[in-house]
Amino acid sequence: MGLAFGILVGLVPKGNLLAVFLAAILAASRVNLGVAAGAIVCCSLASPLIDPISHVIGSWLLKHPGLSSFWTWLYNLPVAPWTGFNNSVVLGSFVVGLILLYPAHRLSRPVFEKYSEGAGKWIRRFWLTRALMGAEWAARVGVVE
Amino acid sequence: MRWSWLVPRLFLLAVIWTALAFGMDPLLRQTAIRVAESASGARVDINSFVTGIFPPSLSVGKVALASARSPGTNVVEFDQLECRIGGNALLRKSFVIEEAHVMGVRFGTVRNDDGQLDRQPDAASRKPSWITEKFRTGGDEWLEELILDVRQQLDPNTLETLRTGKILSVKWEQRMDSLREKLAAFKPRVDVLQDRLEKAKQLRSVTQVQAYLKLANEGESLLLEAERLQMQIQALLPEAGADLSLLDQARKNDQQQVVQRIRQLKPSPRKITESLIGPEVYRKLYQALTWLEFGAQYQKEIRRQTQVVRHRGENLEFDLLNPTPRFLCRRVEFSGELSIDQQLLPFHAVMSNLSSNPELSVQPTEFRLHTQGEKPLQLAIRHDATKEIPWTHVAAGFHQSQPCMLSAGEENTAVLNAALTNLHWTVGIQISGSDLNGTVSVVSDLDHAELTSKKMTPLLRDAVSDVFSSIDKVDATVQLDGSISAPNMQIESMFSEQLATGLRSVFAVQANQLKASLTNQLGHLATEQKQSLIKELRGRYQELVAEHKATLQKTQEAQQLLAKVKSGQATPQDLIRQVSGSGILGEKTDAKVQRQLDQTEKLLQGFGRRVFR
Repeated sequence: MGLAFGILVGLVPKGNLLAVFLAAILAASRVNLGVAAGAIVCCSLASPLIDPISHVIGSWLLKHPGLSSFWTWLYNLPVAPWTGFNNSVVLGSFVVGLILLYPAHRLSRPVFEKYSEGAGKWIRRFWLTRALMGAEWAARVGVVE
Repeated sequence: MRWSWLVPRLFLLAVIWTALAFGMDPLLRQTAIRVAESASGARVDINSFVTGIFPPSLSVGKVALASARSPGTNVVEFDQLECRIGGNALLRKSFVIEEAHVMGVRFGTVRNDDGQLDRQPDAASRKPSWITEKFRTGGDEWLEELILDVRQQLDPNTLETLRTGKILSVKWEQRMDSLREKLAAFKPRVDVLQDRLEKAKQLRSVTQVQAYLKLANEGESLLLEAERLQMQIQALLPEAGADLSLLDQARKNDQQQVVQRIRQLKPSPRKITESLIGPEVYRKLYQALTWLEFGAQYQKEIRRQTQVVRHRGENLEFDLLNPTPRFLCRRVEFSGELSIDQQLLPFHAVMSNLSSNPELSVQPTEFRLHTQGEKPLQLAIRHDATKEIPWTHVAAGFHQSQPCMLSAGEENTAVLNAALTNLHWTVGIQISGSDLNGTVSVVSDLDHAELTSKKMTPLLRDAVSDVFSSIDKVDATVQLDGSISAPNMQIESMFSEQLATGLRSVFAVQANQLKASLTNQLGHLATEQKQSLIKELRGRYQELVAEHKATLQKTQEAQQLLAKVKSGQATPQDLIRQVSGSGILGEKTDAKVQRQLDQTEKLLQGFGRRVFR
């Protein structure tokens, strides 16, 4: 689940309240933060590549006549303009991330079950990991939540 | 709860809080510096930048905005800015400054560094401003021009007498030269005739007679030409008389016109105004327009710099139930010190309704400023950008009780020194789009006017000084149009009209006094011209006549000799004697001929006695 959530947070452009909200939810959840952080970094670097797709999806949604009253209502809510939902890439990448959330979780689970124990041992060898995360917390890298 | 879950999340929270608490303000400070530097083109120093969330507020300390145009100085500097930001609007992503106070504002302060950015300023900023042009072409020369005008009107070179005298002198010189050339061309022909006569003597009797006949014809034509030349020389006398009459008429004309010319001397009121109060008015106007231009440019740059450039995606705006501009400053109060004529005056100013989207805020932006102290300044600027074409109206009133010293003219011609006291400036300028329209006027008292001149006659200088002394009020109005960067301006002044009229009156009064001296001067000049012409004519004429007389005599003698030969009246002895005594032959030849003649006579007499014995 950490990977799937990390992909969602990583795809959404930063510098808006939506990314902050998602990051806060991620931090508050019992997902694997290490995997999530790795996914965020990777997806943040790769997200400009899928911007054209995000833009098309976001624009379609924002310009859809049936949704205009909803967006207008949302836009008039306090704090909502800070989320940047009215930006086509922000909304599009958020939707893409949401769509990818379940498939990513389902597809990654068997892989983590198979390799997590070995990866956990390997990662515990690094002093930086132990220092930053603590020995017990670092041991949880291989545990799938 | 497991500690393993709680500890990393607490750690993350601590990191975020630390970043917000200690990182956001420095980040915002850096952003503000970057934006302001980009807008002004010079260094911007912000000492402290503190934001508050509950309630939303902003506190900025010690801000100095360097000047890009004059290194080492600040355009503006202030000690403290306190802002109260509207919370509701902020939740909807609008920055509404409900109230702000800017304290300790000072302009044109000195910096420790030059305040320049490393990048080169734009080429456009290096362009010479209109004020440089105005000061370069402007008018300290009016006094000099006035003196030159007077001098020109009284300059002998402009008088008809002198002009006519010069023309006649040249004309007669040419005439005399022409006649002399003709005479010079005539002489060789007489010489040739004499030579040929000499040669004819060597010939045998029949050929000799033929040669003499031919020479007699040529001699006749030479004599005719010589007589024609004489007639031409004689005709010079009546023509010279007519020319002298012309010269006399020119003198009379000059006497009539010279007084009228003095009366017509017109000093230009515009030049007088530009010279006396122009620099002060233009300087004030330049300051006002520079501030307006700076304000407009700064506003434009700030807007450009703060505009979010979205490289990713497109922002769609939806209708707001309570539309609010993205940035709105409802009221800002400024207090500080303003430097006016090297004096620092405390001032208080209020600006209201400064908005990034004036159409939404509906109300125009207003700025009102007033100073305290001896030189009160009142300024009101109203900027309305709610319409399609924005317009700005600037109104200002400024009273200056401290005297302002005036100095016009140049030392090597004439200098006018005076003091302006109780100056009252009124400014009314309207800017619509890029068009400028308005007036700047000044009224003041004129004291201690003093004129010094090395080139003016004492009489004229005193009279002009009297005119200045009689004026006690000075005024000027500049009519403006064009654009802020290149305004067209026309300066007018009742004072200058009054001054010009006064100067004209002085010249009119002085005209009668000058008339007498000018008449004498003219009479003297005309006599001089006439005598010079007569002397020259007489000398040349006599020289010409003498030369012609000698040539004519030679021609006539040759002609007489030949005439006798042609008529057969002369015996060979007579002919020889005639030729010998005529001066046609040279001295030696003449003696030789005489000897030969005597011997021939003796021989003939002896031969006759022997024959008739």
